[in-house]
Amino acid sequence: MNAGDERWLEYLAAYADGELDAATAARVEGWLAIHPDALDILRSQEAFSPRQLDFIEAIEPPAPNADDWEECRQRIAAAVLHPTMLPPAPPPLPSAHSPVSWRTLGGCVAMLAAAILVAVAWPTIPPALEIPTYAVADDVDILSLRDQDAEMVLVGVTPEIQMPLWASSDDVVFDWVEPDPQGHLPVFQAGPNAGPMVVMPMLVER
Amino acid sequence: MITQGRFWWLTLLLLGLPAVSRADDEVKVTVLAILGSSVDDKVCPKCAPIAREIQKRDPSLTGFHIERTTTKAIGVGKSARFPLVDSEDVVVTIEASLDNQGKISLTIEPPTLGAITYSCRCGKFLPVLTRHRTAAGDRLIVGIMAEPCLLKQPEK
Repeated sequence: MNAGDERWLEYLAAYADGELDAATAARVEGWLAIHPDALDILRSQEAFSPRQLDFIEAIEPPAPNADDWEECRQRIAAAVLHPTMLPPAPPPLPSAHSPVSWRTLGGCVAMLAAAILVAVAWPTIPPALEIPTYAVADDVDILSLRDQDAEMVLVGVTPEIQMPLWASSDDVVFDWVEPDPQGHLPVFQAGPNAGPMVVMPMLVER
Repeated sequence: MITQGRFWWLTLLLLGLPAVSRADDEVKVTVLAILGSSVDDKVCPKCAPIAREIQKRDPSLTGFHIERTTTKAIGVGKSARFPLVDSEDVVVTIEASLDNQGKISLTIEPPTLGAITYSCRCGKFLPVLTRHRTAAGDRLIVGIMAEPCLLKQPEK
């Protein structure tokens, strides 16, 4: 078949589809008479001709069965769903030297080493200089103070008593007195002309 | 409905209430450590009234001065240690707060003495002539006073 034959192939396709007028169709039939090898081409073109559409549509494609659908569903799930949504994989065989365990252990050791390094080698940053805030009198309550040091206290409320008021006879009532470890009891001074006082006599040295 | 924030506020409030109550019941105690000297004849003005009484008991003491003053707030039923001189101290326990006669009940444990329980009018010092002598030979006198003198107003 040469280049001119390709043109006759177009005529064959049109002839198979019934698109040629009678004169042209007669010429194609004359050409087929001297080219009988083209009859196979004509038959194949007639098989795909629109005139065979009813026959083509009458043929039902093969329908997938239940196994085909299940295989299709599993392929889609494997390609689309997240791994955590897939059915659990069978457990791996136990191994004493699992590479995951070694990675975890190595990570922990590295983190520990980094923490120790930071704690030991972290440079000591001096605190920023701040203007100190000094306490004023009301900020400080001095609970105990030697009287000779009172003049050196710059701020604060000292426990100093301006003028002590000493108890008089009717100001004090003694309820209970215990002797000292040696069994000595104090003397209680009281009277109309003397203020109350607890006196522990000095021991007489013999 | 009690939210979590309200829960914590209520917890803090309930924890804080007893502290406030304790502060109201606290008694302020002031302790004077007075030294009487046999070699010095100077008497500090604050010591003058008591110096005469002490000299009646121990005429050898001619000079007096206040060595240390200490003030602490103590809750009723609680004790506190007040420093005096050297390593000596006096333990004061509040037995009862101000009564309707204006007195506060204390128990004291001065150096060289046993425990003494007494009631004293608030704001007044009770002198205690101890047996303790310092290295310089001065004799220790302890003055103890408790206040406040105002009764807490009853809540309406």
